[in-house]
Amino acid sequence: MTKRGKKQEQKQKQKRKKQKLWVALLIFAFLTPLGLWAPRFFGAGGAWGEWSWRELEKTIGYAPAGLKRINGLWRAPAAGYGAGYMGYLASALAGILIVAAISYTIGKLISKHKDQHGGKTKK
Amino acid sequence: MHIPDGYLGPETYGSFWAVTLGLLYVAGRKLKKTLKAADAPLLALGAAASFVVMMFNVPIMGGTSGHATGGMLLAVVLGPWAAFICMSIALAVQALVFGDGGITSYGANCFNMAFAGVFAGWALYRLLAGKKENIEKKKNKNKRILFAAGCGAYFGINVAAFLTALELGIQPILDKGADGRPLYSPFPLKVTIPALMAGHLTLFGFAEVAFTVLALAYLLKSHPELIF
Repeated sequence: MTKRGKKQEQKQKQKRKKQKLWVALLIFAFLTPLGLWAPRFFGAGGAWGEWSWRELEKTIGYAPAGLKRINGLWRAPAAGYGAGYMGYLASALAGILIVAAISYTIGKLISKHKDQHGGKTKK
Repeated sequence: MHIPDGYLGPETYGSFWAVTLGLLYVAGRKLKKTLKAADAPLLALGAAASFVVMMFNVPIMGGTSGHATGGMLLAVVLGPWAAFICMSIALAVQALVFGDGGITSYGANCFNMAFAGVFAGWALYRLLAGKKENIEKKKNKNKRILFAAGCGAYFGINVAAFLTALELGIQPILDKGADGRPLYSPFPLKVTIPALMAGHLTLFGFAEVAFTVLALAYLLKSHPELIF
């Protein structure tokens, strides 16, 4: 085999190895409904200090005025990661897609004027 | 640890927005020197992994829930500045699309989890893992790297939780309404610190350790060339 062919083959191998990591992430993503199930199963609430003003009003008897004013500032399209286990899973997959797309774009922008060829690993 | 809108007053969220924007600018400058176009997919993978990890809520029986952040793993693989940028992107999507964490408090959330947590963990990791050459030569050094990353993970997430508790806890001192009641987060430091630290010191910190060590052990074995 020529030197070039060998190099090509190695590049392919590297690529396949990296694809494996995406598969691992995807498998991981399909387990996310566990993250919704576990607190329910163990009778635990949400994270501390992340209540809406209504929930806060119920626990301490009043909603601080400033907090109430800006608490609902933003209406997130998929607030609370969707509804139910399927919604949660769909949120995980959609989230991966959006986060990966933005990071990829930003990564390309930052490295714009750097070598476009070679450089299979950093540093 | 994702502070929602309304819990921080304008002085606090304004300052953190300013600091975080400045830090992101520095991170961009730093990465411009080292990042190659071929690294973009790795950034995407790292940011997406952090997003997914944060969906695994770990419950305290009858109490609250929390989760790992993936910050330490990102720092070990991508370096701390890239980890900071990746996690900031994950946090932005969480806030904008899924309503997890506020818009006004985004600066503070980024600072706590993506910057302070990541860099605190990274500092301890480097201290314990030893010289960079050791890491590069590794083979039988893997145990030490895993130990260092585990310690860094625990330390980092607890630093982030502690900062969150401080920011929430000073609100009643900073802003009071005409009736003397707090305008924003109503809990004093003596409530916020124990509330946040109890969960993170006992359980969520170890969730971070478990995730970091398991994922890193796999990466060291199958993709050693990726370690920063």
